[in-house]
Amino acid sequence: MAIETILIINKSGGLIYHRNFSESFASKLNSNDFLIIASTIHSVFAIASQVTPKALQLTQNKVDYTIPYIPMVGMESSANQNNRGNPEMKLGSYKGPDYFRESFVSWNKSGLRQLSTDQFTMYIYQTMTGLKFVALSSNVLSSHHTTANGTVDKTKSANLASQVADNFLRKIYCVYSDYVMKDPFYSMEMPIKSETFDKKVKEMVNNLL
Amino acid sequence: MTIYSFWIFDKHCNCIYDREWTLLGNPKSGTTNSKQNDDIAKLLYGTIFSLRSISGKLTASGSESANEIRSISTGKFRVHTYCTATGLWFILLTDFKPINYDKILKHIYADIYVKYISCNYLSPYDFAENESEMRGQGVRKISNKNFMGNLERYLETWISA
Amino acid sequence: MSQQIIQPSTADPSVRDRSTGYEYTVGPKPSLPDEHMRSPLTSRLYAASLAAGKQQVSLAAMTFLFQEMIAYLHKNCTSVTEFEGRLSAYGESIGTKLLELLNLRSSVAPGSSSRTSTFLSSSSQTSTAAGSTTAGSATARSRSGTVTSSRSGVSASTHTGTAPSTGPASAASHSNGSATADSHSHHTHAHIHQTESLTSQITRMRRRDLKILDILQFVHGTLWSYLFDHVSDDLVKSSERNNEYMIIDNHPPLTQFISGANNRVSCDYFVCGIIRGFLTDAGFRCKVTAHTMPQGTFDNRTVYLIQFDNQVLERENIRFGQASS
Repeated sequence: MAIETILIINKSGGLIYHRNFSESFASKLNSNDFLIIASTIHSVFAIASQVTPKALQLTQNKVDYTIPYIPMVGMESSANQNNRGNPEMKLGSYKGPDYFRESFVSWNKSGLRQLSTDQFTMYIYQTMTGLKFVALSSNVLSSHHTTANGTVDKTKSANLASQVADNFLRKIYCVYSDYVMKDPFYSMEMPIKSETFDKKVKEMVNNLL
Repeated sequence: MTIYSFWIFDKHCNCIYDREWTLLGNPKSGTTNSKQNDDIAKLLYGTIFSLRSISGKLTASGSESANEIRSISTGKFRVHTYCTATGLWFILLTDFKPINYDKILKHIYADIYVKYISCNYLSPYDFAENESEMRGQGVRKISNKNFMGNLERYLETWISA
Repeated sequence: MSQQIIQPSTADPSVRDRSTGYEYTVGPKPSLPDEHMRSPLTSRLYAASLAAGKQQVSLAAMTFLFQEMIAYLHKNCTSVTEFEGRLSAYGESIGTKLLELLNLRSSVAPGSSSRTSTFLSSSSQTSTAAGSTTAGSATARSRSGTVTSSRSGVSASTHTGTAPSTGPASAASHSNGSATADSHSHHTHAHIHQTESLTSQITRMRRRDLKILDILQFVHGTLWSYLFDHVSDDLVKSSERNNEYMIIDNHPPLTQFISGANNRVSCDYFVCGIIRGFLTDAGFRCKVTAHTMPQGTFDNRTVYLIQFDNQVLERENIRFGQASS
């Protein structure tokens, strides 16, 4: 799963963090284009829940929003970690060896979660406070199979991809809460300029490859 | 797999056909070309339109083909889209399992729409007839019995499955 | 009970006649006889803060507090030097207090704590139940005694660069946690025996550090493990200037989330202040500055440069001759 771009959108639709990890996408877009994209995602996110089919509104079927924990997504392999010997379990911070170890319930229950096109897949992770973490992956979701039935394996792999994406973006959220929220020089809702955060995100994206 | 509703939009942003099944697993239930669905049709169109503009901007460098949307998913349901070269959109709302419905949508276009609407001399070629209808104020819908019957029969198998 | 006389708080009549509640049908509720025995606050509360048990603070809470401190100063200061000066002044008052506390704590010899408690338990063999509980707490305390001894063993082996921090330190904290947990369960029964405070375990005060190197070792080992839970990563004497020493931390925990090397260094002046307060109060007047020096994988590696006043060097020369230079 190759991550091309990471966006963070604050609760009012402003783009507060944007980073391209390769030149293949969006090389001809300027930062203004990304601001527009961010606010479009933000507004579509809210509209999407309005389109919920009547059949779903009538039946109160319980959807399980639990996302299983997938170990070491975006982390260094354990062999490398032993050499570094640094990550310690620190009280009160997410800085454990793998940030979290349990399955979690997605807060993004009715909004936009995934957008797949011919060339990329976009995953959106929303936090309880309305912050949105958007990852653009160059992997195309189940592109080559043609039938709707008999695609159990493909369905599984596509499901796995979205679970990996949710696990990954949740880790970015953990890093955000450490390196952005605990930075005294960051003002809320403003663009993130922290280079330590930048470095951590880049590390995680590289580890994911 | 569950199918919740099916929509066709023409190139003037008008919804020319909508079909919603309100009872799960019952292919006879639901509404066709309902007035109540007009607002939802607009929201649906707007959502897809905005996301299409994003995907159009975020095109891989060096690729010639346009970057079309395949599916959009929320936590509850999934929207599958199929856009034709003539500007028609075929849209299917299903449960959120990532299954590819492209072939179904293509079949609806090629074997049902083309056969009963495009090749039908009595059916209008363009569903918008005047200026305001070309600007998204269209009211005309597909009411061809053959089209509707064949579509029902085709989708029935997927709904009851 | 004879122990009541020993305990000043329960011997106090105002405390003894304290009513425990008000029953609205009867009136003030008289306290039950054995509630007299219980002191209002178990005296462990007083002793606990001085005892060298490991008490950890949530890193998130600490950083948020620190963040507010910095934000406050940042708003009120006009220049970087003023900011650093005021932040360092905050640290200095902590440093002067830590000098007292850590010297007191280090005066508890590792073996002495278990000896004093066995002595106490042998003397108070009045009832079998009390004897057994003190034995339990004695074992608990002796276990914490071994923990402190092992930790001072770490701090004694100073010069080695990277501390063997994570493994043994976390293991020690775990064993210590369990020790305090089970000793706490004894406290509810045998709270009277806990009246002995930390001072009763000190037979002889630690001698004041007189040499520069000694006090720096104390900062490098004891102060650092008290503040940051690990020994500082290096203690170096400057080869160019006689009065300069450097304490190096590869991964300063307090400022790790702050972005920008320059910002981070300014915030490190809090620790500089602690060092300066500590050393100045110990009689070593000095100036402490922070510098960032990334090395290898440690991007946050910070060097605390300590510049002693000339009078300190002169005193050292007079007192210890050429041995120190």
